[in-house]
Formats: sequence, C-alpha cells, structure tokens
Amino acid sequence: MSSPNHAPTSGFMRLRQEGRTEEVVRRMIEVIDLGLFAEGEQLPSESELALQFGVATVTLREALAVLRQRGLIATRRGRNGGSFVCAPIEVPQALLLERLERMSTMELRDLGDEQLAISGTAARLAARRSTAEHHARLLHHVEALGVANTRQQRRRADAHFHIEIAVAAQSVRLTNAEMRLQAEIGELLWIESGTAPDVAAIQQEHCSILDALVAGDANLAGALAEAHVTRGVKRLINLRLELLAAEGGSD
Amino acid sequence: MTGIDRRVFSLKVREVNVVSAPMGPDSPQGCSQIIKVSIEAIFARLQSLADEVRRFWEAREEAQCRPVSRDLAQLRPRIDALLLQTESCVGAGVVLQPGTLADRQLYMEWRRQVGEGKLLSLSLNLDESSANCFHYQDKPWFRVPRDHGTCTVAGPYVDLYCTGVYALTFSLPIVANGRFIGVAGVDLPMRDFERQLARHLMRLPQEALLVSAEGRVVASNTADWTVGDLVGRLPADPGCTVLSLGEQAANWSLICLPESGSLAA
Repeated sequence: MSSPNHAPTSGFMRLRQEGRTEEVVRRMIEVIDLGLFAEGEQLPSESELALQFGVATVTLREALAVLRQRGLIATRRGRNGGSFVCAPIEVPQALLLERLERMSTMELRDLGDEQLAISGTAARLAARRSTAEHHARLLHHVEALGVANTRQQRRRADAHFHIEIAVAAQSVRLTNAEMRLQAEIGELLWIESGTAPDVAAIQQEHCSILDALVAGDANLAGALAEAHVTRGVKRLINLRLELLAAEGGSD
Repeated sequence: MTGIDRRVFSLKVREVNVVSAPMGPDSPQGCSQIIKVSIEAIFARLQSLADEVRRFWEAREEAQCRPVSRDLAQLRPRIDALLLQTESCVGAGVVLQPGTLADRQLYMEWRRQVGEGKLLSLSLNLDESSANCFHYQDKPWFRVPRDHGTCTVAGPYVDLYCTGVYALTFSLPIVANGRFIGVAGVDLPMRDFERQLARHLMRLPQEALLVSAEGRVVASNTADWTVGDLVGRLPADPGCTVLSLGEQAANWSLICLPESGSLAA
C-alpha cells in the first residue's frame, strides 16, 4: 500500500496463486476421477509420474504428500511397495459446509459467472458440433445420475455430463476450463440440505439440455445450460446465507 | 519442397493411371491424391505392426498356448519404432478384443510420447469392476475396425485419456486365423497434422474442405469453415464438387466449394 497510484493494477499483475504442486494435485484428482487410474492400482514410479506431468521430482513428491494427506492415495514401503490409488472417499459433508461457509457471496457469484460463460458457450457450440456418438455418451451420464446411490456418484455423473458437453463442443480449452470448474464447485453443488439438491429436477434439466443438443438448437441449448448453472449457484448462495444465519453474530 | 511434392505426385499419377483431367497439386484431383497417399502411408505402417501381432499370435496358437498380457511386452520395441517413425505421432499401440488374452479381460499395450523421444506405457483403468473403467469397446477407433473390418480415422476429437489434446486416432483391425483379436492404432495431434493438410489445400484456387467420414472438417483453406465444424448437408449441394479419398483413406473426402464461396456457414 505504498503509492495509491499503483494499487489498482497490482492485483491483476500478480501471478496466479496456484503453484505447480497444487496444479499437479488438481490434475491427479481429475485423472483419477476420469478413470485413468483404477482403485487399488499402483501409480507409476515418482520419476515416471514427474515426466508425465512435466514437473520436477521434488514438486511431484510434494503433490503426492498432499494426495496422501487427503486420503486419495496410500503409500506402502518395502518390496512390492509404492503408491496406490485408494477407493474414492466421500468428503465429509461437514468439511464441504465449512468450505462453502468460508466463501463469500461475491466469490460464489463470480465462480457462477465463469461457469455461465464456459458451460453456456460449450452447450451452444456442442449443438452445432456434436454427433450421435456424443449424444449417446451424454445420455449415459444422464442415466447414471438417475441410478446413483451416493453423493459422490451423483457429483461424478453431473461433472462428466458437463465435461462431455465441452468435449462435444470440440474445444480443448473449454474442456479444461469445465474440468477445473467441476473440481472447484462440483462437490459443493451436491451438498445435501433439506430437500435439495433435487436429483430428479437436475436430471430433467440435463435431459432438456441433451434434447436441445440433439435438435441442434444452439440458442436453446445455451440458454438451458445457463439457467442450469444459475440455479445451482443460487442454491449455493442461499445455503451459505443459511449457514451464516445459523452461526449467528459470532463475528 | 515443391520438388518433393512433384515427385510424390508423379509417382501416384502412374499408379492410378489417370490419363484425363489435369492432376497438378493445384487441382482438386491432384490435391486429394497427395492427401490420400499420406493417409495411406500411415495405414501402411500400422498394417505392418498389425501383421507382426498376427504372426506372433498365430505362432502362439499353433503352439497351443493362449497369449497372456505379459507376452505383449515383446511388442514394445516394435510399437516404439512405429511411434518414432510416424511424423508428429504422440501415441501408438495395440488394443485387444475383450476375452482374447488368457489372464486379462481388457488390455492394451499403448505407448505414448511424454517428452522428446521419451516413451512411456499408458496406464488406464481397465478394471471392469470399477465405476471409472475405460470401456474402449465403445470407442469408434475400436468399434469400426471390429464391426466393419476396415481401417478408420476417429476424430478429430478432444482426447481426454491419452494425449489431452485435439487429436486423430488412426486404427485398423488385427485378424489372426480369421478371428478379430484387436486393433493397432496411432494418435496424431491435429496441431501438426492440420498444418500439413492446410498447406496442400492452400495450393487450390478455390475454397476447399477436407472432411472425415462422419462429416467433420479436418482441414480447410478458408476461415468460413474451421477444424471441428460439421458440414451437414453441404456435400449434397449441387455447387460443390466432392472427391472421395476412398476406403483405404478412411473415406475422407475433399469438398470444393463454389467459386463464390456463398455457401459459407
């Protein structure tokens, strides 16, 4: 806060906070979620993984330590030792609520704004660029949401549905952006409270988006995807406000 | 550059024995011929890998032993050579028909390039009991050679699993003793491949698109149509000239637009 003249630009000039380690952690989580590694499967050696991610071995070790701490991988010593992918564990609801409570309304709205841009555009482009094969995969994810038994399975079917739309849009950038957004907001969207989230209603929204894609109606697909994102974010903002109210005027 | 192209071109003219229409690289016929030859060259290399797998398989079957996953490791040097010899290739390998191996239901011996000349085996989740299992049987690069016995080019598509980029997968069936046992394939990122193709298209006097069998633009010489667009009913337009590259070039086609370019999307 030296010179007020410099203050306004400094925020934008600052490099992104996410370091190489966090990036590797996030990619690893995505990769496990996509099914690149099976539960119980031994991960490649540290040097091999470092090569695959294009990072130094030190960075990779740090990332593995974070993953171990979060219970995503386990490391066994000795002969036949190494790192193994653990069965996916559901993040406890209390932890998710804590995460949500720490976020500001502004932050949530801004996250929603970004997702609006990404998911809306992806749906618009997918309406023009998707084929029957994409529609079949999307239908599979819609059905998977209907039969999912756990919060984890529902979140995964939901995330895969949105990522697949970006894939159908033929855009690597939109796909990467959607994957990152799903990692940031996906778990929060499936926090259970009262009657929300209404799985049947969300599945119906997915169905309508898919119908618009099949019909090749870009404007409708875009509008439906945007409305879908907006409803999700609104639900999160309401939930967070309720958390604040329940907490009372403690701070 | 021009010299090399001319050589390829004159060679092909003799092969296809076309006597009429002018066939220079700046004619649609000549251009489609050059592209056809480069695609066929990729499939020819893949076929030699498939032949090697077939010979290996038939020898095993003759010895009354059913191959196991470990046996496929022997193919690695051969796959690596194919990967490194194929220009701008980032992945190559063999993917097996479920139930073919004695010890594993799903299996692939797939190598990928992670750095300059550095190759690693791709490890995907092929555990069928897992919710995230990679069921490759449904993927077009596996399904088409299995169901139709033909070579195919899948994509361009966003490849989340192997390359992480917009890519094409070339694949063809491996048949041993008359039975389909799997596919041999290579991954080529569009980034490099489109550049080569667009260069050929730029020699044409008219606007033209190179289109995959499913009707997706692979390369074009106009910004009105770009990579990844679907052409829809465009080929049926009487103003367009459509040249098929044939089955050996995965049924890609070259679509020449009317001079006016009025059909732009």
